[in-house]
Amino acid sequence: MAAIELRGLTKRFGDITAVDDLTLELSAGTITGFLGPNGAGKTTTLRMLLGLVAPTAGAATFEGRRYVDLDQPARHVGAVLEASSFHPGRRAVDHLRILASAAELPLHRATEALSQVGLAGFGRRRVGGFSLGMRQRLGLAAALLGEPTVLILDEPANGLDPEGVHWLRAFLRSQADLGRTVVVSSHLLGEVSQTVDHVVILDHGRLVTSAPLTELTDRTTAAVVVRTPDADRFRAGLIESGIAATVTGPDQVTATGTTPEAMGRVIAANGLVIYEMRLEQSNLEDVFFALTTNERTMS
Amino acid sequence: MNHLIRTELLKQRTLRTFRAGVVAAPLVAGLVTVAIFGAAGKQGNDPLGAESFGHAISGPVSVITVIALILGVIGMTGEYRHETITTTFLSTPRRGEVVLAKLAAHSLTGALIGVLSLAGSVAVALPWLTLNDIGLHVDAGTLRVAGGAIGAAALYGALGVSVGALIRNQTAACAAVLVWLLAAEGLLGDVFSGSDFLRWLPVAAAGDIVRAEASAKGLTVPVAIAVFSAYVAVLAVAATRLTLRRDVT
Repeated sequence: MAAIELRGLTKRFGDITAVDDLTLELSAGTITGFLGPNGAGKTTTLRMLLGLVAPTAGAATFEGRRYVDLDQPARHVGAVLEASSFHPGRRAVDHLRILASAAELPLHRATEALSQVGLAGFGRRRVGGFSLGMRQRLGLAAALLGEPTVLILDEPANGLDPEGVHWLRAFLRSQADLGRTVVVSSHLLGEVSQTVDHVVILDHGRLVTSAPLTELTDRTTAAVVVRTPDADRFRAGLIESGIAATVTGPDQVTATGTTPEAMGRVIAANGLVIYEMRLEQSNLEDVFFALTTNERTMS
Repeated sequence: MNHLIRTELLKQRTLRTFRAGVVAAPLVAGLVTVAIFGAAGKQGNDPLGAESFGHAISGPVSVITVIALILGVIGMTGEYRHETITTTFLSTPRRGEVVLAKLAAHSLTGALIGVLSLAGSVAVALPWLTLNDIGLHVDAGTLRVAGGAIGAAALYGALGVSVGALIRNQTAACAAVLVWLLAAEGLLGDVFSGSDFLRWLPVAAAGDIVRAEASAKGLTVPVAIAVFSAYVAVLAVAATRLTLRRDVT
């Protein structure tokens, strides 16, 4: 059974369809990137999954059960939806004790969770004095209270400095290594691509794709870029060998659908001087734009 | 359910606003008692006597019920203002239980405010009246006033939670309850002077809970309790239904 399953999930706010007939399954023990531009429907989907927003149609379940039907949901699912769900006048440890009390968890989990996110020395401080990065960590501590099997994080990298982002990546990987299913929504594709195993892309409330990251990046063709003083002659040699190539600078040729080895043979055969050869692997951003552009063209 | 009530009480204990409100109640009661006793026998006021203690404990009721009411409003609207409603409903997705726990917790806090207010009045009245060779005269009427003060504060706490769930904006909710409490019912009284329906209005009914004897124009204590409780119950049901239906976005 899928760890998370969405079936025909739809949400309309008046005339606006925020999420449109979303169907997908996420398996256990993976980090899934929930991607899309602002307004794609990511947050609304996660809120429906967590029972905060009622779907207009369809259902969202954890191992076949709706969030509201889970016994002690904090032991199954931990979620961070925004970095501002705190009373500024309350001490960090009290915030966590309240959540532990509501979830019928032992209160000592509050101090343990603070340690897990690197806030052990800050429990007595009021949250109003926390930086955005500390609030993100406190939110993660709240999500970890019940030691859940599923973590759902909405834009967890927002407001984090480079050190915080590095910490977050290591944290997410450690959670997946513990066998937890992690769902991370983000509009910062670069951040996510270094962390996730599986990618779900939404645009205008609709599912564009759901696939492993490697499969997605392999879908788009990598390019080989060569710098040479004989750019035009090199391009002609490549085309003669059946390799698609264009001159992309005064001394630069970019070839697609080929390999550095094939390029090397053309260089040797033509006795060319080259200054540099590099492989440009397509990244998640390229994939995202290619897929969302296709989607918009088709619709 | 008990763990949710404990959670709501913990929420209150961990905020300075609530601690200040609870501490303010006996201080206000003590000051009101000083004012009442200080003015006794002057400018046409009755001198200190056997009924003075009853006046002392009924005097601060209008202030302490406002404290309980506002704390109830803040307890509910604060969840929306600071967006803690998201984590609250993630911990307890059965929202009706959250609202019930808040109603219960703020009733308890209201009752505590009532008890502390009585303690504040006694702390001033006991030495003052003893020094004047009067002593504390406690009769059935005094006990009715004391019980009424505690009960009214408890009901006002729950009323505040209900209003807060219906009007999520904290400023608007506080303004609404204060305008009704301090002005609206008084204006209705001026416009419809002498009309019978006035005694059935919420503030009038709550006032009749805190009486030693029923007044000619007012409700009897049991009826006043039933009427004010009915207002609280109707608003609580509406608040619960709305909270169950509303998306948390």
